[in-house]
Amino acid sequence: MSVESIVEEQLNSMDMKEIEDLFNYASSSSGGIFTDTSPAEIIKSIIQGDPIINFNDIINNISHLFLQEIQSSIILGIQLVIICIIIGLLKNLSTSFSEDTISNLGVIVCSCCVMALCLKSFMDIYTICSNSIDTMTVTMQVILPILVPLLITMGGFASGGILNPLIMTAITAINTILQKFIMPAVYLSCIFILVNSLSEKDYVKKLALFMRGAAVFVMGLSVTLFSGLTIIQGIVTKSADGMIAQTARYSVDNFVPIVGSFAADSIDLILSCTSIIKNGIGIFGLLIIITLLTIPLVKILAVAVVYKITAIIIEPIGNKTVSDCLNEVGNSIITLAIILFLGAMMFLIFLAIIIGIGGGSLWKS
Amino acid sequence: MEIVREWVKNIFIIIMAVSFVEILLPTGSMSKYLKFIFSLIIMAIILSPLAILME
Repeated sequence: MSVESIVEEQLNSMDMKEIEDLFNYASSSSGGIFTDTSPAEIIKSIIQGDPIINFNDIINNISHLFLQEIQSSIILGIQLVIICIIIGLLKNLSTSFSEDTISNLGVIVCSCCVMALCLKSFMDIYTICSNSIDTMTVTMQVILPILVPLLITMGGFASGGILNPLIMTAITAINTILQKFIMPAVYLSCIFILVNSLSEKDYVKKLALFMRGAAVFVMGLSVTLFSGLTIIQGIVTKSADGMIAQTARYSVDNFVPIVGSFAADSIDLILSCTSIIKNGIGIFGLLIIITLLTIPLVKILAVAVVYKITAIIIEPIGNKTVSDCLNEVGNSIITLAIILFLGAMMFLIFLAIIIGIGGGSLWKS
Repeated sequence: MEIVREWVKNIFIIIMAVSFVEILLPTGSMSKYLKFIFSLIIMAIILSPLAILME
């Protein structure tokens, strides 16, 4: 009985329609960054020792996507620059009006236009971010019920039993914290920054910066907390599992007469086949999460770059408040990107823990 | 969530109104007192969630 046939038999008995659907969704929205693949193909390439990812293609595709996104959001930058040129003109023309009031009013109206444009684009980015976090959560919730039974099949009783509820809780909790607290806080800080740009005086700038800082702090804290707890649990339960599996193997080997050692060896073979499948599905999950992360991240970063460049361009011509405000909106968008990245990072850590448990080390010491 | 939303909306509206009114005010000796009073109003709005917490 070869490894391939055992793996194939086990794969055929599994239902993986859900993750394949998810991957199709992810790769169709990615615009061809990751080519079509399936858990079975990944597992085959693991057994044959082929590389899973083609690096050059991915880097080319990502840089292409980045340029495309910059091109599509450059219109926003041009609109902002035009408004700021008008502001500069109004300021210079104020001497030819009878009073300052008229030109100042014009400047405020222009600032309102800038505010509306920025809020609209920020709203778009907020939606993208929140959607992709939702999709990542759903992905994790689909992959875990497939991975954990495999983990238990290959002897990880303690790991499977403890990690499954722990990771599920962590995922749901982080999703709720993100949607209810962290991302609204960044959004509100962006609103405050924008409204602050209306007048020369700073009214709510410190409040805005405080809210953003608090959001980043809470995000870092919760990621560290959840992933730290899970890693510690993973390490502890791994040794417990190793003990259980080895005891089972030892007793089969020694207490069953004559065929015992053959049985123990074939247990080893089947267990390592299961672990290959588990790792294959785990890597497939990693690929889905990375795909879901890359696209929004590239989009968000492209918009942030456009904001930063616009702030640089209008600094000499426009007024200081608008330029500062655009710079800060760029920072807010980068903060959203960081939050998204940290969330995805945590999901990747969870998958990596599950992949890391077992391997070959569990039952052979 | 509803309270926060109300709060942000109030701050937004009051700052916008104050910025417009400050420009339209006639320049006179009273204008700087008026500006101070506007700042006090904004401060009161920012502090308004505290009143709900106190209850």
